[in-house]
Amino acid sequence: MHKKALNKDILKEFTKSITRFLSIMLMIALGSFVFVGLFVTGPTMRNTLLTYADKNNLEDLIVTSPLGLAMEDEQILNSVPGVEILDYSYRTDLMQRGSDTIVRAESLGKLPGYEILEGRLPAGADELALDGKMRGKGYKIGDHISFNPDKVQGSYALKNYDFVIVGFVNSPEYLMPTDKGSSSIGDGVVNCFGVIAKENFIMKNVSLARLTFSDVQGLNSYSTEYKDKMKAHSNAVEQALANRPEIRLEQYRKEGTADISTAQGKINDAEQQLSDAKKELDDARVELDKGWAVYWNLQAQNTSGQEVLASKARLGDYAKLAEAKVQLADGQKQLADAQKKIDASRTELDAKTTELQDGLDKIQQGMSQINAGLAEIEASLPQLTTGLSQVETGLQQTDAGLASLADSITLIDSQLADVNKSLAANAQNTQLLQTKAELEQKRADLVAQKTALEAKKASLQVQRTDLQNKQAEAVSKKKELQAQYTALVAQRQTTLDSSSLLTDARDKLNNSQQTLDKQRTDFNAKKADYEAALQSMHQKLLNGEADYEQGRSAYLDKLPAAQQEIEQGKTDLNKAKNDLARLKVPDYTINDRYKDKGFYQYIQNSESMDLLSLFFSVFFFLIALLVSLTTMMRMVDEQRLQIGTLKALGYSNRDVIKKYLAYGSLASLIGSLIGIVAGQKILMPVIFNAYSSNFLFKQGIPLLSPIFSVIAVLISLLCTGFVAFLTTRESLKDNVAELLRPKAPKSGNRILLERFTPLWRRLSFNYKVTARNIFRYKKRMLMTILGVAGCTALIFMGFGIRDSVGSLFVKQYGEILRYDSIMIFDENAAKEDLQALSDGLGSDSRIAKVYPARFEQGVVQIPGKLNQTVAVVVPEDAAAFQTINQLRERKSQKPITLRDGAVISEKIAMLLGLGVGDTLEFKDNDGTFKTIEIAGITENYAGHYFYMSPSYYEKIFGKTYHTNSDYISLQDHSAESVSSFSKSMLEKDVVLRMVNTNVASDLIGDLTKSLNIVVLVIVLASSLLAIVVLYNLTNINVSERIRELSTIKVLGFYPREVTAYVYRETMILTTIGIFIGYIFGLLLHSFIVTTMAPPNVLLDPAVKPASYILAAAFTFAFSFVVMLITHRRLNRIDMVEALKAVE
Amino acid sequence: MPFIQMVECYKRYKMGNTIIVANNGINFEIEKGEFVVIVGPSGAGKSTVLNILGGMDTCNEGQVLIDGKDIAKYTDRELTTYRRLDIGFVFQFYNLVPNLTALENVELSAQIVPNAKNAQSVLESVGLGDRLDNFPAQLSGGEQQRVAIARALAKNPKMLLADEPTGALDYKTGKAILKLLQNTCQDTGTTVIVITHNQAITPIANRVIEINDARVRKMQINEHPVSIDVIEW
Repeated sequence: MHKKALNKDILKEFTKSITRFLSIMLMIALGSFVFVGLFVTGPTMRNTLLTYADKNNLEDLIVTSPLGLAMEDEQILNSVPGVEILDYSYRTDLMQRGSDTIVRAESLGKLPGYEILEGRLPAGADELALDGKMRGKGYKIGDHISFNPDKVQGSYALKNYDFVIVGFVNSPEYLMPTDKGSSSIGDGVVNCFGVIAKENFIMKNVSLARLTFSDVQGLNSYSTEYKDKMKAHSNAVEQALANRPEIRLEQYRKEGTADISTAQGKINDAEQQLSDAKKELDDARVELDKGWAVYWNLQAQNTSGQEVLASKARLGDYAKLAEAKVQLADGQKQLADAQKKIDASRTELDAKTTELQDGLDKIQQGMSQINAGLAEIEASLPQLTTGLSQVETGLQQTDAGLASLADSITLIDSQLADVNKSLAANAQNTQLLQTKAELEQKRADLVAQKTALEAKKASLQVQRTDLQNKQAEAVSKKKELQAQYTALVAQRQTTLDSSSLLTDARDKLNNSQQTLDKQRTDFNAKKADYEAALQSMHQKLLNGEADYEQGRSAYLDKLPAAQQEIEQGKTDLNKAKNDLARLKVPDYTINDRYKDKGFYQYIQNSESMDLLSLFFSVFFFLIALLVSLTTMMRMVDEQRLQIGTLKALGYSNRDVIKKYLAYGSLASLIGSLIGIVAGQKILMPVIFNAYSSNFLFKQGIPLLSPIFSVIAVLISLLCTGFVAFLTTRESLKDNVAELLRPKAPKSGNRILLERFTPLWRRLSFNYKVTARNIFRYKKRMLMTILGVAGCTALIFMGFGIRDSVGSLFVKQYGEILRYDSIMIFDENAAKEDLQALSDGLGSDSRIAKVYPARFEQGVVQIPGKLNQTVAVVVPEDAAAFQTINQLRERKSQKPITLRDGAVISEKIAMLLGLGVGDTLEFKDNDGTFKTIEIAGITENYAGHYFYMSPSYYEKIFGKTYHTNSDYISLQDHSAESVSSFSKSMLEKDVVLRMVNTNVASDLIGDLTKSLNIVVLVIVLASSLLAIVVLYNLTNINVSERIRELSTIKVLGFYPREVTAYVYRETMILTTIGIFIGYIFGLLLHSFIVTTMAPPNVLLDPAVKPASYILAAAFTFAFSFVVMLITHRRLNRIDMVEALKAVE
Repeated sequence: MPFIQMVECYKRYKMGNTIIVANNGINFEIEKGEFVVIVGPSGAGKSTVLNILGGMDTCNEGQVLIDGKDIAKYTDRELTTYRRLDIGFVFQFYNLVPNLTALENVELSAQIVPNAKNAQSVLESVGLGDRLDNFPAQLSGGEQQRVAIARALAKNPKMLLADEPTGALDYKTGKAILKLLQNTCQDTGTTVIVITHNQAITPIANRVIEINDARVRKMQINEHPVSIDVIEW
């Protein structure tokens, strides 16, 4: 029976409702895309890893020790049971000559197999196969590469340090190209590995042993069986080697001590020789100095030989000279004294002679004076006599004059008397009067003359007296002079007598002078002898000086070399001593594959991927399926009438069901197939690459397990075809007549909200309608809310993850750790070196501040996880330290002060599930276990830290607290500045290690990069899903209520009003969905964030407000897009058609 | 000038390869305040005429003059406004919004018109004062149709168009509905156009337009229309 018409109808159905078909298909495709894409990524990652590991013979177990494996160790390992391959290998870190590239050289052996990228493995002693990653750095096959031949632990590691590159290889032991481990040379970072022939190594001990076990061959390394068996094997090896560390430590201690004493002896000898030579020189110097002192003393004018003699200590051979100097000085003195005496006598004599002569001269002079005086007096006497006679004459004349005058006067007086008589008569007689006047005049004149003459007579009398006196005087003087003269003559006689005595004395004096002169000649001869001796002494000294100089320069020439040798010896010795002091229990590391960093990290990544897929894709798929389910149910409902008609025509139920079953199944089949293929080909590689970006793997080897594809197809079919089947069957239960009547639209009902009358009344009419409608279609309401909530939650989670990872860097290195570098120095170095280092830091202008602390490393064992390395930090000044290394509680942001007990970082507390007040055990640097009490848990995002106060450190470690590191804050925080600073610090011998925060941040950078891609995928897929879900649900809503919508169109609602009428509901549901989405999103996010982060990274579970806004904005935007689509569709509704009486 | 004038109105539908002509040059006019019955057999094109008059559809050719304005030239937007303000529509299957009560259904249309009547009083005037808060599902067919008429009247339209308003109703109820329409026309002066295939009710109209085979075959004016009460069929 051909049911052509029916088949045709089925075919037509696809084309008629192509959008619905496509939308179901798309949803299923999206769901299975994400489901399959994510679910296969984890297994693919593991498969890629395990395939690679197995193909390249990655060992099952590797045994290493920092001091290598001794012969006894080999013996022990050789007897471990169940071993398939046991391969010993050498390993040493080499520094490339002329560059700071550090190559970890390993000997080629049976294990591991290397993946040859180009060329071949080394065969000859000068051949090297280099790390494949170096191809990108300009290294080529045929290049020569040389290394610094540095001694390692006192001996050379290789016979040959010059190589030719013969190949490029990858190693399964180095899965992370950028992380090759750390080294004790150079800047401490191993750049790459290299493989060289085993014969090239001349190391005393092999470095490591690699083992594979026969009972795990062919087992999947991820299987429990493998893990269990390996656990047993590694325990067995551990047991076998358990006693070795102690034994070896003892052995090394002994060897070290012996070496030290030998070295010490050598140094002592060299030092003795040097000091002997030095002493000889010094003695010569002293001798010379002594000679010089004596010489200069002898030479000096103002030092007496006596003084020289007095300082006998410095005299030595020079006594004779000194004595001579003394004698000479004495002779000189005697001569001088004698001369002085003679000179004194002579002076006296001369003085006396002069005195005599002077006396004579004076006498002579006196005599002549006296003679002159006499002559003078003789001459004056006659003069006086003459004078006297003259005066006598004068007097006589005067007396005559006076007499004449007296006569004249008398005459006149008579005349006058006459006159007066006459006058008396004739008083008036003029003539008489005149005569009388003339007479009176004459008389006056005569009186005057008489007076003058009397005066003259008086003076002459005086003169006469005077002259008479003088005459008497001269006579007496003459007598006196004559007496004097006589005395002088006598005196002269006496003087002439003494002069002859003086002449005698002079003769005597001249005689003694002659004697003295002779003595002086003798003395001078002696003196010349002395000076010659002194001269020869000077010469001798000069010769001595030249000899000394020669010896000294010879000594100096030899000195640096000798000293250096000694210094070197000392340094070596110190180092050896330090090494010995620091010699630890040799750590035997027994690592299975899961303790290999790269291997473990990759497995971790794959497992976190599993988790993500579980949450994300299941959630995602669920929404897609729910919506498809609704769509299918709606479709069957819509076609009730047709179903009824077919049934009425007599078609069997099976025939009727066939159409819907086919429709749904085909949509989901095509959809899920597209999704499966796209998921595996597009999504999986994207996620795979994101997670593998730090690893060797460029392309995943898909694990061709069809299980997820089958699950996807089955679930899809179940939710579309099967639902169609069920719904149709349900419909078919109604009788035909019922089917032919349109299904009565859902009748209206009072809703709960209406009971709250005040609220209900306040709602506008439109909102009342909307509210009713929302509750009218409860199923769709739930679906919309759930769909929107799911999409919002996923988008929110996506942005949230980005926030958590993105804020990590800012918080860790912007807020919590603010220093630029930690400089770890050798605390056992010489005091002056440490002082020099600290002085250097003090004067370094690049440094802003230094915070001394103690920095140690410890290991915490975490059950079921990789051991975690912990930094134990003990700041000297906790308060200052707080400014560059914040200790604070994350939630309350309250600072934590260091007191009793340790403050530990949050992630380690989380891993161990410990809280404040609990105790924690960890292994310190020396391999001993210490237990600390947790006093606080501090916010920290990368790495693990224990902070404690010095006193608590001393209590826990039982050691005195010393700083061994400086936390340094630089002026310039840029990466270049920090890097150049740390490079310059590493050049100092005392500086052991520099830890830069910008290097540590790389870890976070990688994580961010890979997560960003995953987040992008999540957001994209979720967005698409949001659009499809909203579109589909709105579509159903519209088609279900097409008559209602047409009616209001006929009533004259404008298109905008029509859209608002129906879409207001969606908007409200979307809003509700967003808020519920936040809740889901937060849960999802916190779960993902806690499980996905690597064990040493804490992702901040806080989500930024921007992400809330973004998630809502995205969802609203999609809702808006769907609204626009709906708007267009509503616009195109043909009201007439829709309102026509039902077919 | 007549209130409504349809001039040479053509309407063609394309159904697959064939073209169906629904209106083939329709011509008629209606005066304001008339009670008009358009009668004709199924598929004659009556509903098309009504849809075009009601602004739900447009004709391919011709003029539709309403109050002197040619709505055939209206844009969609203008047509919507026209429907909103001037037209009240009553459907055979009532097309009430099932999720709204009787009162709310009336309010739904009242709230979009500026000078709408009070919804409650309109419902009271159609005799449903005691069923205001019932949902359509709780009402009988006649009651539902009354709500539909109230919804149309609440807008205070220029004309009331009813497409087979009694088609889904029993005889008695149908008669009551027709009575309500006739009273509305008489009491409010609203132009009422009713489509029916029932020739029997033509006497109640002021004007009867007979459409057959996509054309107006006959137009007749009753000078003295009778009350519905006197008619039996």
